[in-house]
Amino acid sequence: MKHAFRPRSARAVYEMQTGPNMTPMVDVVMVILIFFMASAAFLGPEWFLKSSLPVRAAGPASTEKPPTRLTFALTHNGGTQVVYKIDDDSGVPMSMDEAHEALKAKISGGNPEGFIVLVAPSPEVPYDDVVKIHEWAAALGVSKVGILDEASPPR
Amino acid sequence: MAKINVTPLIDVVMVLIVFYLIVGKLASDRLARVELPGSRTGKGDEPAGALVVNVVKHGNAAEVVIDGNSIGAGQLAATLKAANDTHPDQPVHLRADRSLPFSRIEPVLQACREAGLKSVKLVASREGGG
Repeated sequence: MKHAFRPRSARAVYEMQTGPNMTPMVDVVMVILIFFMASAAFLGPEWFLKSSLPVRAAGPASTEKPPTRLTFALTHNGGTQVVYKIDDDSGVPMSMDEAHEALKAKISGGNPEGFIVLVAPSPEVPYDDVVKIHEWAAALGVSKVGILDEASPPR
Repeated sequence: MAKINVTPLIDVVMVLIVFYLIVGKLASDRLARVELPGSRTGKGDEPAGALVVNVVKHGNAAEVVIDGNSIGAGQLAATLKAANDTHPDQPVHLRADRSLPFSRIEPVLQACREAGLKSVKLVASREGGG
């Protein structure tokens, strides 16, 4: 008489007793996990703040209303001081905190696209303060932010 | 006679090669010792492939590093121009030390302008609330 049932292979018996082999899946998941952990450490959390490089150039006269220029002339003597100018006015001296409030007051409620924010640092000003003004402008939705240096158009 | 199965070995070696290639590229671009300024806002999803200009602080001096190579002040504009001519749409990321005075950053910006760039992206580290 023939066997009524097909004999089980050793592999079938093993899988029946222990379940599917998880080792390859664990290998792959571990590699992916380590890869993303290492990538995150190298890529780091960074922000990018766009800064224009203004150049002196003649252009056609525009009939549109030009954007309002808000210029922050920075000097550093112990701390950073700001002279805040709107278009071509003579400017108002103030601290960094006051400058932040002045920028917020000027742009809040208006259209951020109607403003250009220019940073004019003197040579001794820490780079950190230059970036800070870019950060304020970006937070208020101003997309046109630039740094003026000696080779830029007149301040 | 049973042969040795080399497939797992090739798998592991391939993963290691790819890993070190990626890390090596990132390391040269981004592992310069730069203490970035902090920011609570900004754009976070920059596409890969930017030209990264590191301005590293050495005491009171600054060193410009691109792709792991130190670039002298006289060669910076030429280097940036060559990169801009080859890849005109390639963004430039400026990673400068937060405590450097602007006088050390200004030559880099002037070189960018001489190279024909219209803008640069200032890189800042993310602070809480962003």
